[in-house]
Amino acid sequence: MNCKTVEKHLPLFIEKQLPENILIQVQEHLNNCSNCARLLDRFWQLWPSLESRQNIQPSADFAIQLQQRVIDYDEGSQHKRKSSHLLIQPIRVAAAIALTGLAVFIGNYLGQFPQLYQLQATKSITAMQQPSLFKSMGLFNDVPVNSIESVCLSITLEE
Amino acid sequence: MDEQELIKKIAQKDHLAFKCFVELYQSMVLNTCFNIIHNRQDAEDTAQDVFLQVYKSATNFRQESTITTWLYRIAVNRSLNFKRNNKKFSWLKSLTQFSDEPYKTEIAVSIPHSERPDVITEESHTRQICERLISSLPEKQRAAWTLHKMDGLSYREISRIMQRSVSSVEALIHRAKLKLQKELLIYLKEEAT
Repeated sequence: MNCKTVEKHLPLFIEKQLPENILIQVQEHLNNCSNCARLLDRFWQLWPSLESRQNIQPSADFAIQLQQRVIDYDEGSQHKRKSSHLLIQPIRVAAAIALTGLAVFIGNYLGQFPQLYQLQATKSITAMQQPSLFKSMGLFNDVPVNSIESVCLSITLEE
Repeated sequence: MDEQELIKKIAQKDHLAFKCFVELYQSMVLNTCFNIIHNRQDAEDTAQDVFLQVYKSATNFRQESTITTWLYRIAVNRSLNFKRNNKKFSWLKSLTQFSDEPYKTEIAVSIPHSERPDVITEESHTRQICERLISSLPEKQRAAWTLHKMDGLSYREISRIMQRSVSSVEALIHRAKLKLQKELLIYLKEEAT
């Protein structure tokens, strides 16, 4: 077994998960190859540091800074509460005006399309009556009357 | 004064109770943040954010979990958020660092003077390698690894903190271990050549 193959097997060797025949070969190689043995030694030298905690102590002004931030927060939230109290009445009035305006706009917008409602209302009208209705509404002024009649007829037949 | 009472008093904005609480948990919170963030100043800022969040939301604390679990959860989430945000703006940081001192490497810039390669001891060099390897882990694996190996918490405790199943925590830690082994071997091979 050469160094490259041993390097490939090292993670499983470390985890003790190699099949026994390969394990023996890797072990043999490690006994004879100083480079690979050094690599493994260095691995075990560094590995515990990856599992150990580095403890630090808070700096001297940690508590003071935190206290200041808490005071700032308290003052900020009080100020916010006061200002929201002052603002709440005008906001209510503005919201009421906006809602009324919106309702008027929607009402006006829907009122611009009475034909749509007329169309829905005349769903029960026979096929022969519909072309004249379309014509009377002036919806298809530039379309020949015959073609409107044939479309209406085909819709009725489909229904 | 027991912990529950402290929390109740903090909820009533009692500064003295809050001070006691900070004294009790500052080391735990700071070290948890530090082991995820790996920068002292940023860890202190994040730990302060954690305590400020406790102060703000002490009223919301329900006794479904223990105070330490709750604190760990806030600390881990805050630290991971910090790392995430820091990553987003790392290109900007590197740009400013590049314009300031173009010949410094990224590592040299991000570590304090006492840990610069020219003054470091073997121990701090090892620590630096470990920090770099742990930082290379995906964030959930990093959090689980840190809580298990460095804070010595059990899989069950970690599952409560990270709000995942025990088996998923186990899988995270196993994957973290395999990745760290692989990365360490790669590093050592590079070091040898």
